Amino acid sequence: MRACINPAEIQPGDLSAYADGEAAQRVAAHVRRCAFCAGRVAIYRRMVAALAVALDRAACPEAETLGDFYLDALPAGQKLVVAKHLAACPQCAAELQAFDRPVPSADWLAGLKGLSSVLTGVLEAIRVPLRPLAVARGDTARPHYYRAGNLNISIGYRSSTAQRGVLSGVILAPASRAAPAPRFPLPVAQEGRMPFIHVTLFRHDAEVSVQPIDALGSFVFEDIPPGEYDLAFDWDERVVLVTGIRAP
Amino acid sequence: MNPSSDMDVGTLAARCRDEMAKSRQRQPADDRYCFELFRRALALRDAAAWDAICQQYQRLVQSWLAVDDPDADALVNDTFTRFWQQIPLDRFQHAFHHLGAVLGYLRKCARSIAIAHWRQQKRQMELEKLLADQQASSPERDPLRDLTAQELAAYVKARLDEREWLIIMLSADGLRPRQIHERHPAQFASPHEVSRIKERALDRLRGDPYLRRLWGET
Repeated sequence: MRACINPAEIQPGDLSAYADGEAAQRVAAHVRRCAFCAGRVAIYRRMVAALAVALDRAACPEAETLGDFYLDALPAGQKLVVAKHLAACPQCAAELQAFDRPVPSADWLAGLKGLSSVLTGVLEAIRVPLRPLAVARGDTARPHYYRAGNLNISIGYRSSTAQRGVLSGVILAPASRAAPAPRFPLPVAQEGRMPFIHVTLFRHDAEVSVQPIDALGSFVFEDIPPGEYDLAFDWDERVVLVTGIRAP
Repeated sequence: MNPSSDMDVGTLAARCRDEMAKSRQRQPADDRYCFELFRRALALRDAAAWDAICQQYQRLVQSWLAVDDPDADALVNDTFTRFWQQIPLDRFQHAFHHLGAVLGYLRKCARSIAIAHWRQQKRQMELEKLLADQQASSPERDPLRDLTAQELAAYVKARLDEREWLIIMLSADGLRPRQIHERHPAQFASPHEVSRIKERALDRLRGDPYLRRLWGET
């Protein structure tokens, strides 16, 4: 059959949804009656299966990059991307163990000299719960507070045009002395000086922009399209990560 | 005064070999001779010192590679080549202060080469199987087999927009539209929007004569 028996019954996306097992009953009924659409569904399934093989591990860092991560020889931004990837990819985590294979280790984090602090810093920041503030008058987005060590970080997004906006924030230091002591040393503001030098904006694990942090702890990213972002605050050998920032 | 600094390369290599033998027998060993050999090879680009290192450390590199197949010799060669390329003239003095640091870096190169080799072997096996299933009647070797995952991904990505690419990657990872929507609610308003964009992306990829062979359309 060269054409659909009744195109009016099918909307764009219906057949792909059916191939994924998420279509409505009316779509299933149509596919049962229409050989042309059943053929398209079969092709979509074959395509996704083939792409799964062909693109397997395409998002993984190169083996050489894993090696440089192991040696702590990557720039902070790239180190962060690899650390995030390792937390989600058991294959790369297993490969990282191969760099230390003569010493079997169940806890590879503990075995990485000089890197455990980076990863601990990342993981600690991820665990910090989000505490929303009240909506500021005139703002289109709600600023959020994050806590890392004795620092509070406020981050907000404001639309500047229909498709663009400004992502800005300020590091508020120090937080309350009553805050529980962190398990590891995190950045501490001293004598009015901010411990961070710059902040990096990531989207889909790719670096978007790097901006300085001024003496008052403020930073601004302009002309940012809506989307989901991560921010990495570089400090000495460590990185503090704030993930899942939605703009707007 | 380092006694090794005035030695010729032949003497240095012999002393290095002796000290390595002591180290293997768990006896106290002086690593200054081997370190000096590396310094001359990498910081001074001394070809004779480099040849001595390749001979001296070949078996150690083989053990780090842990690869037992016909490619093993080529991988040893790749390891030394990468090690040489990654240490520019001015870097040796700053980066390496003792033999352990140099050997740690050489081992990193070997392990990286081995991991890349394992990845490519596994990928080629899976692609061979996929393409054999799809192209049982075709006698020609398909060039798709020789592409790395990253190269093929770059080819696919160039044909899609940002959201289409994200969906295709996540779908290839086994995520369904509902899961993709839950993971990226700022990007996609609903699971059906994911399906709509995915279908558009798949239809575009279907039109590519190069990729069509992956799923057996000619």
